[in-house]
Amino acid sequence: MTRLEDQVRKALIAEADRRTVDLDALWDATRARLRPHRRGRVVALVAAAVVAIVVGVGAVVWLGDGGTQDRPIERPTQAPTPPQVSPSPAVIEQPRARVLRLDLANVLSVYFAGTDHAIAVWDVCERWTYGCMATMLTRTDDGWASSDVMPPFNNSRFGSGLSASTDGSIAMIGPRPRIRLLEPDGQVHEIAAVTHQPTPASLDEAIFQSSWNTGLWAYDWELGWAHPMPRPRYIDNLQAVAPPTEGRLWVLGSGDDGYYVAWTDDGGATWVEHALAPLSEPSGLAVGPNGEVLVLVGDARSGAFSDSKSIITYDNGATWQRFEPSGGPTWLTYGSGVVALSDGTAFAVDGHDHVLWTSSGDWQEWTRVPQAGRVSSIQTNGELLWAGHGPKQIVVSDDGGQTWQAVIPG
Amino acid sequence: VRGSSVEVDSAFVAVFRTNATRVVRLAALLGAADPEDAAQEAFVRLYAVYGSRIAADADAGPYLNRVVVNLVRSRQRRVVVAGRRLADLAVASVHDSAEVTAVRRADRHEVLAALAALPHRRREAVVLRYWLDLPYADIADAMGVSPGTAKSLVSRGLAAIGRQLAEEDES
Repeated sequence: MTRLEDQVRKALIAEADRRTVDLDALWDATRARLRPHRRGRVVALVAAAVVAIVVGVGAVVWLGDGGTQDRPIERPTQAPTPPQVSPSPAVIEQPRARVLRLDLANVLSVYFAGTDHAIAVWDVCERWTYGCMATMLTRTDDGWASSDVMPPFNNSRFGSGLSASTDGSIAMIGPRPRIRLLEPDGQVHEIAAVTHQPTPASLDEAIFQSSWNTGLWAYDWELGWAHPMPRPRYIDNLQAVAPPTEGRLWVLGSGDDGYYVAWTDDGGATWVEHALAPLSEPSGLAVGPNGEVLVLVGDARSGAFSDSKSIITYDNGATWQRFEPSGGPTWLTYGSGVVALSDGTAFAVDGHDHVLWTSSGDWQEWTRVPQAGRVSSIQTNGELLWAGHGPKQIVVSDDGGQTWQAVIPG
Repeated sequence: VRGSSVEVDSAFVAVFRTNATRVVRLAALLGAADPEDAAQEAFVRLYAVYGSRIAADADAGPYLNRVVVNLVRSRQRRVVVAGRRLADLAVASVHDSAEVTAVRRADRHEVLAALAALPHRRREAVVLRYWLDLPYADIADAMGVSPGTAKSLVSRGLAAIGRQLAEEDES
């Protein structure tokens, strides 16, 4: 993409993002303009014609006999008013799990997972500009149930948030500056960043990354919810955020002149940034428990991992080295990703053949995880692993990837 | 008929929820005077064919793109716009420095002004290409032209924006 193309694209995105849409009002107005389906209209016309014929014949008969017989006049019964369908319920009950269609170049990712792995929210995007739909999956005695969660995450081009709490409460962020808190019982509370009255409730620790160029919210460092935390100087668009480890927060994102990985120890007051190689296309960021940080990078032109733009540090960012492991993914694309469990086990997805890889220790030796099946995205809250490849291949593991349970049987 | 009460199944509501914001924004970027109204009309038309011409489980995005492009185009033909409404300046992030903010705001303004000055079809092609990231075949489908024409319109539109920006720089 040329500089001019990039300039045009950014201007269009910025202009589009400015326009907020009140979906409730728009739906109300749209619904008022809807007309019955043509099939319904045809049926109605046929029915009307039949009624007219019957009435006409009846009238002839009635008039034919002089109208002397008392015949009851049948009045058409008024059609019952159909039930109102609200476009924005907090939760729409569904009997069984389902995930909305995934028929384009879509991205399936876990947004949040409670540590009791009772609830997870998946984000289903057809294309990033097409908007996304969040689906909450809940484990029940009868399997998995799902419910739609408002609102669609419009323009969620990048994975946009994470949170883990011990009681199953989860949180999400939508189009700026709205933050929503989703309780285990399905209640949704909006925490608007502009209200200055945040109610984080039961969240132990949460970091929020918004969708496009909108900021980073955190409840750590006594920041509260009132304002986004200061971002790194050179990063405009956040792509990935790792859960904070011992107070250090790592982020990955891009600016006008490329991609950077950055960290802060003081809630964003100061950042240390490290530029990635030119023409990098980062796939993800994994932060281990002992100062290891891995940035898996593909080539922006080819997507190939073999060009080795990936970097790793074993001293919390003090020094970096090229990452040239044995085995592991060969092709990195957006959405493939890399994550690390709290015990330091890393998992990465090959964007080409959709194979899940794992490594422990210094992350130099990688082996396949065939039991996960085909995987195109991987997410974790540090304890649980969620992997997905389309709506019918969603699996979760709570034993470090040894065994996997299908969330939605294929 | 306004005020009519039509039973709408949840699948269509989901389609609406998934696409509505994008449709409004597309209409706005194409220069619609009332993007929300255009979006409403687009969904009304979608509903009329939903389940018949457009299968309930099909992707409604391409159809909506096509309808919005046509709606905005036809309205622009009918309505004499006294002054072409330039998109407001993009609001920069509160995190940007004043200097960076000023530069970006100016850049966006110039790009959007150049975009607004394009002939309709070039503007459509540029928006579909660089905002929706559509391939040329899909742009052609949305605009009702051949892929070659779509590519040409994108190229010419982009070139015109480049020239406009260069002139701005020189002045």
